[in-house]
Amino acid sequence: MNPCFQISLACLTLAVSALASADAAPITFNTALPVSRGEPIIRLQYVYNRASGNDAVMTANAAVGVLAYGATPRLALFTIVPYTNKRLETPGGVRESSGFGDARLFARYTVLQQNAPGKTLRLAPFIGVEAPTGTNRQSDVAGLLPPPLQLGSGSWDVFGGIVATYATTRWQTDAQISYRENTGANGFEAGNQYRADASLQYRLATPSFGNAPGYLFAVFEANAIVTEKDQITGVANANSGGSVLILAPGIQYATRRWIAETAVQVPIAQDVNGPLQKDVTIRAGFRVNF
Amino acid sequence: MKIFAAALAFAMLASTSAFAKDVTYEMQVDGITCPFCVATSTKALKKIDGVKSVSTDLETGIITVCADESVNFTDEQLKKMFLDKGFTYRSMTRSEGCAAA
Repeated sequence: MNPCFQISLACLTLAVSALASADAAPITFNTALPVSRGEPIIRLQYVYNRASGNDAVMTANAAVGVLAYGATPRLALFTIVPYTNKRLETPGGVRESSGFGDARLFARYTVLQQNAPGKTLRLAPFIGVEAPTGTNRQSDVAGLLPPPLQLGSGSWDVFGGIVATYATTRWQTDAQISYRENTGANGFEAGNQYRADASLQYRLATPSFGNAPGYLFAVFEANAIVTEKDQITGVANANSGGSVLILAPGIQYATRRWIAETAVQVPIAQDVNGPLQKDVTIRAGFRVNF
Repeated sequence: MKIFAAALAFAMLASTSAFAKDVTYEMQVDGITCPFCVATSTKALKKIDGVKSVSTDLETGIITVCADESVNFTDEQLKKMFLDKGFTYRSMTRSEGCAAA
């Protein structure tokens, strides 16, 4: 029994959430706040992910780049490209892969926008695809790597959802529900995924570093993720899928030109099918508007 | 010494004259909630010829613009500009002079 087939949940949650916005925003998922028309925002996020169990340890280090662009005042387009190193250590040896993963493209449209002095309420559905830009046929001396160690899925996958945001100058809350439908490639199909995410950001202070006056936010986020079983040549893999509830405290510093942020995602409850349990995810990154 | 005094007087007169030609606009803009979202509006305003400075009070949503009198903002112009940035322009007031010109 290959433990890699039982860690798809940890792998799938890695690159899901590095999104960009023009304002203070959640660290582990998206926001409904605006991206100004004709203006790009770049976000870079480092993500460390670890899962372990049964003498096996799976780690992934990813640099995730996000480009957001305001096509119209209500329509924002996003591109996400991860560069990842995945490493699986077992008593039998080490297997790993490195390179660019699957790129994600999606559009978000603001359907509700209610503004008041120093306040805003927004609601925005989004839909997108994950293109098979990462290799899914990488091998090492032991042969073809198992699907969770591959950098790409080899399949075109679709996802969508809706995100809501209420923001004031003192605090902000965001909530999102989303669904991801995976298709298969090479006889393997990762389990479909349901997510619910919530974030609360509270302004602690307004410190200035040099010429950059800004807001310092305490961030507290939660992610609930349910993943269906993988399919191998059309048969459900009993050692895959499951559910996990994650809490993520973090901190964020927002100035006029950039935002720096970090968060630690810790699972507080998980029921995954297989020996590997999710241990921790650490995120650190920044956003810049031009 | 007389030449220096004359030059100083001329410079002060010129400065006073320039000051008198400045105007202040106070714009009520809704939906701005953090420093990061101020930047795009500030950048757009500063691109307009004659605009000298822009400051924002996040709590009240008031953007204060100091410009020379050649600048004549209109409600339609500001409504479109702030809409593009994702915010809602409500109104503006215009007064002579700038507090920090």
